[in-house]
Amino acid sequence: MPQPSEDLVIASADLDQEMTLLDILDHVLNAGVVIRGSLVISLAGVDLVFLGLDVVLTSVETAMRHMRLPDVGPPGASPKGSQR
Amino acid sequence: MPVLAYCITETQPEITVPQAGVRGTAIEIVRVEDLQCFASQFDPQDVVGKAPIQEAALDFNRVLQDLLQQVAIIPFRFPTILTDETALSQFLTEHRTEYREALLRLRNCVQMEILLKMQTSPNSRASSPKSGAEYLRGRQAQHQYADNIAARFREAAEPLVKQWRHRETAAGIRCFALVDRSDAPAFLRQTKGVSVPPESEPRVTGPWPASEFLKEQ
Repeated sequence: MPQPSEDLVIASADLDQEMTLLDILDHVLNAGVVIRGSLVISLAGVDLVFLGLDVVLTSVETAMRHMRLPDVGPPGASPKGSQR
Repeated sequence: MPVLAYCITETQPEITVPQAGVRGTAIEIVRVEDLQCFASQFDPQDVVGKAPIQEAALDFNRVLQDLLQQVAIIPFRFPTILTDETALSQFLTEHRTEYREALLRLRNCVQMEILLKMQTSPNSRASSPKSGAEYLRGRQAQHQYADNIAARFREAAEPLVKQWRHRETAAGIRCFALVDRSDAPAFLRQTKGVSVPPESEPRVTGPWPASEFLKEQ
């Protein structure tokens, strides 16, 4: 597993690598400028719209949320990924 | 070819460009007036298909952290893929005024974060609520509890904090502090000394790009 950047400090009483990784993923997937558009990417002759990537992001985000809060309910009950 | 956008910075010739981007790709700079955007040519199949997205996201983070050490950045959310460099230039041109203003305002700043789990104190923790009103009272108690703990952190870091924002998330309350980049180590030291109940499981992280402060409130 790739190591998180050493320049990023995570201060916590129960520091562990998995949570550090989640912090980083949470940031790169959920923080920053979002471009909404109708970009179409073709892959193997099939058009994949940007929405296809968004679905991947949503599932990762949801997975992370459930790893933090295991008692919040089934994945299908979660709202679609938050965007800033 | 599509490009993966990393972040936007002010144009500064002394910035050292990270050696490699996601999946080892070369990083290029797209300049529009006094703004520059870091991007790399990108095969979307790498994200959508065979490569683990987690690995690519960590590569992406390494590029951001490398640049953040040198200068204020406005990150793109991963993965932001545009059709080509022309589309990226066009996007920068359309938004240059707001990004220039934000980068000027955040020039020497970074964002520090505190995540607090939203739980009630052990003494007041109730069993499953029997009514809607009871549930709402429980939620209100959770908010007050987390707000009180957040206030302790804010007080401890107050002299260093230029701006403070917080919001509720599914994981708890997230507090964001805008601090001078030279004050980030002091922020970590001072917040580490805050005495809080263990059930709030506070996590202090940073420095991050000041994404929460891009817009003035």
